[in-house]
Amino acid sequence: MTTPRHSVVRGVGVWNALGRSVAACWDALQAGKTGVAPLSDAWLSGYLLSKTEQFEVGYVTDFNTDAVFSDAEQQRFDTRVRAVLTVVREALAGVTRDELAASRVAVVVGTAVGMRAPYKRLMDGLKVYQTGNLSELPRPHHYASFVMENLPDTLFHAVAHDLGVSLRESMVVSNICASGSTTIAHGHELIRQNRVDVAICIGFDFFHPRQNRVFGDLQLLSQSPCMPFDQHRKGFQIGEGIGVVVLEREKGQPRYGEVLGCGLASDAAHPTAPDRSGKYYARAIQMALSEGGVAPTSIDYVSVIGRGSVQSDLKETNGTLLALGAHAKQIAINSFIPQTGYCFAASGMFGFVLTMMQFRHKVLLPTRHTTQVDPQIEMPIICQQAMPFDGQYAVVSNDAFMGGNAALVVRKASA
Amino acid sequence: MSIAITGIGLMTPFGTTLPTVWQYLQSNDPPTFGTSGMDVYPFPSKLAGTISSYSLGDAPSALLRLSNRYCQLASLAAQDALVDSGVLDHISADDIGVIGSTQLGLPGIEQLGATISPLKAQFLYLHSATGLIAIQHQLHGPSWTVATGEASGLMAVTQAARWLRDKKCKAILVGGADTLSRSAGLHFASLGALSPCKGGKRECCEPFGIHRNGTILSEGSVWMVLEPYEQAVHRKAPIHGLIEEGDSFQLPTTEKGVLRTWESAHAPGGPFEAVRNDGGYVMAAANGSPLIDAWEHAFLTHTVGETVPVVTLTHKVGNMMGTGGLVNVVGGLLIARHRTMPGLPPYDRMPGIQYASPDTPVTSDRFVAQAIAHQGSVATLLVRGYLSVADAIHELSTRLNREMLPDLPFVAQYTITEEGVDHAWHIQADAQAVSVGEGVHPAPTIQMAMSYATWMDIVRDKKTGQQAFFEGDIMADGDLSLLANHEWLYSESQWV
Repeated sequence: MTTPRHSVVRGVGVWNALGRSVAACWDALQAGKTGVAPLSDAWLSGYLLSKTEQFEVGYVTDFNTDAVFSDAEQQRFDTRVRAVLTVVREALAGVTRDELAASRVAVVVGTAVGMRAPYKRLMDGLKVYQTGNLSELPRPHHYASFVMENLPDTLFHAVAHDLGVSLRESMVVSNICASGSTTIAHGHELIRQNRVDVAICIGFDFFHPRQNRVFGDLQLLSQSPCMPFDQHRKGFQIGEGIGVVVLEREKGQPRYGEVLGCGLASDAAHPTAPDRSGKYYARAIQMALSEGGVAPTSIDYVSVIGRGSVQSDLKETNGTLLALGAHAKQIAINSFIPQTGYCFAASGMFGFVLTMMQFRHKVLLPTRHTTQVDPQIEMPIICQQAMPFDGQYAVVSNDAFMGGNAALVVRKASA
Repeated sequence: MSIAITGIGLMTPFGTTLPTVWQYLQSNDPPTFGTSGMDVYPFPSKLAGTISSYSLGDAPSALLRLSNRYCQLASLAAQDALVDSGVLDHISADDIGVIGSTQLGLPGIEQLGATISPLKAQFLYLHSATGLIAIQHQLHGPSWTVATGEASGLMAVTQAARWLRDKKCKAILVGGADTLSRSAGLHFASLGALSPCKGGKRECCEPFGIHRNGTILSEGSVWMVLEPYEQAVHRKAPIHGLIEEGDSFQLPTTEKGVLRTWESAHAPGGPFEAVRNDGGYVMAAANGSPLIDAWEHAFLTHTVGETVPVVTLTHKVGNMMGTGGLVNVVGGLLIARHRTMPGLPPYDRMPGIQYASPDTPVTSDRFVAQAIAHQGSVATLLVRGYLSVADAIHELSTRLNREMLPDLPFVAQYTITEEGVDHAWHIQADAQAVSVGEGVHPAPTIQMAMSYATWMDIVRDKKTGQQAFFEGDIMADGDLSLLANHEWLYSESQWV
């Protein structure tokens, strides 16, 4: 068995504030819809945190999956786990159990925060925390393990059970907001090192109202719509969601595209403030380009996060310019954060999935709300109108608190 | 490419240096589990391995002071590993990565209701300790945190070794931390994995015991510096051991198929076969959990049986959660270094495997370290203990003088090349130099010294029937410059 150089994107899945499938999310983005909205009364009840209600959130109004899981499965799996399994099922559509059973399968999970429990479950767990009476643990307490810990490794058994396969490898990696690309990078590495045939890469983060307080205090949230790269930008709104990318060994014609290389580097400068020079953001991209054997001038699109904060936007664009040189000034970029909210690890997954979709539909979607691009931004920004696109190569890049940077180089599947 | 461990830093309840940890493991005293530092919760086991106090140093950075216990323990151990290694004096921080690991990080519920300062909120993430260390030391290489339960630490080492072999950076600081908390205790209790400690302290955690009833939690942090072996030799770094191979896999959800999965995960020539063929030992996960111990015991019975000594440390150090596998690596290296197995407390154990005790001879420097997560992730690492050439020769001379050849002059010449250690060793017997070996050994390990000990033994039996001694300990403090300084040893006049 030869060692593959690349990994192939076999399937993708998404669930966020815009919809519970890739198609629903794509349609909503194209239609200019936004999932960012005020928190409902149901959400707010019980939370007494200041600033919680001041900011809108790109939240999933209902993670209900009762229609697609049996009673036994509903008894067994926590709602969050069921939501993740739903997206895994979407990403594996068309892959038979026999095919999976004959493959070495890995599950790689990426998250900034972990498997955060819903409010009621958390409150029930708090009682146990206070009394120590384990008989009162909310059920099921094994999946979304217990309620006190944000243990994402509880997903391994759930995925294996749901797919009816044994996993060869399983790991959780966290790189805070860069966890999305970091997760896909590890899936890619497992295939490139010939350790598995299929890597199911899962990235998620769930909203908790306390985040509005913390990020509000950090002056990163905006009460007005998020306007990435705009000279009047004031920040972002937090979102939540799940993204899944299924990678496999090269065989036949890729369905979506291929991952050619990955790179990671760290600013190592400040816990929350990005290094706006983008030096190590660029380094991660250059590492990915080098591994993939792709020249900077071959890149047609760069998927950045585009949070709408001054320092973060400058870091992403300056870093891209450093990595790709003058060629970067011809590459248009966009951001989906105004419509999905900023979803931490999941945003990195969405960036990857939507890059595949833009390849497929030959269009680059516009950045909603952005009208007057900051003159410090030296890359063209797609605003208001979608742009025809027939590119072949792209970079998907994420950066994070604590200075993490992760980049992937991908190639479109041939028509 | 062999990966060398060139620095180790520890923050544990039982020691913060290798000698103190070894002293603790060797002693027959009961484990130092206490109750302080962790809420006394109304469920089984009020004992835990707690770090009662620690200092942030003379002038801790604002970041370190602002951070939490999880980050601070990690940072202090990582700092010691970097100092031990000296890697920052030789390798650009741009080329050094940081891979952290944790099972729990800072448990979410510990933050609930607390007023979160925006200055402290940044330390709530799983990755915060790793990120903090990267910032403190300006390490710009790849960085992430593994959070795969108790297997996290060994998985991080495996990933670091793979990234170094792929030449994605020149050195990686890898390690992990976990801290005690009320929610950590509740978590393990909810899994039925916490010992009720009905007896004395010794009975609290009995890995592989017939009457085992769970584990005792401990907190701590262990970090290591890894780098390619050739680079470590070139910069004359201290080398604690070599990472030869790492693997990880997932056990199925039910007991059915666990053994099959476990065995099939290890291809022929894998780590367990290596230690079996080489006379090495296994540092078992053995956390005292009724179920997980049963699985590991079944696997070891089928794989190595009673042919390979199995070492358990958990009765002494507790279940260190994500850091447990890293403690196993450190314990394994200390065993290789001191050629002695730690103590084995008396209690009834499951039969079928050979439990290492101080009476068990250490005949190899190779060992497998294992870690198993309650969620079924298993990580294994094949490690080789290491002595510098000087230490290896000193070790050999001590053995020769004490056990084998105390009356004959014994001289050695060696030089380190890219291929390994080019050497020629002789003894002088009956006024005649007798060559006992020459050639190139891939790595100057304890194994090399021991192979020579065997050869010397043969020489004694077949050639002279006498015994020899090593001339002084002139090799003990030498390194690459040794040959130049002591060339006279190898002069013709010495042999005739």
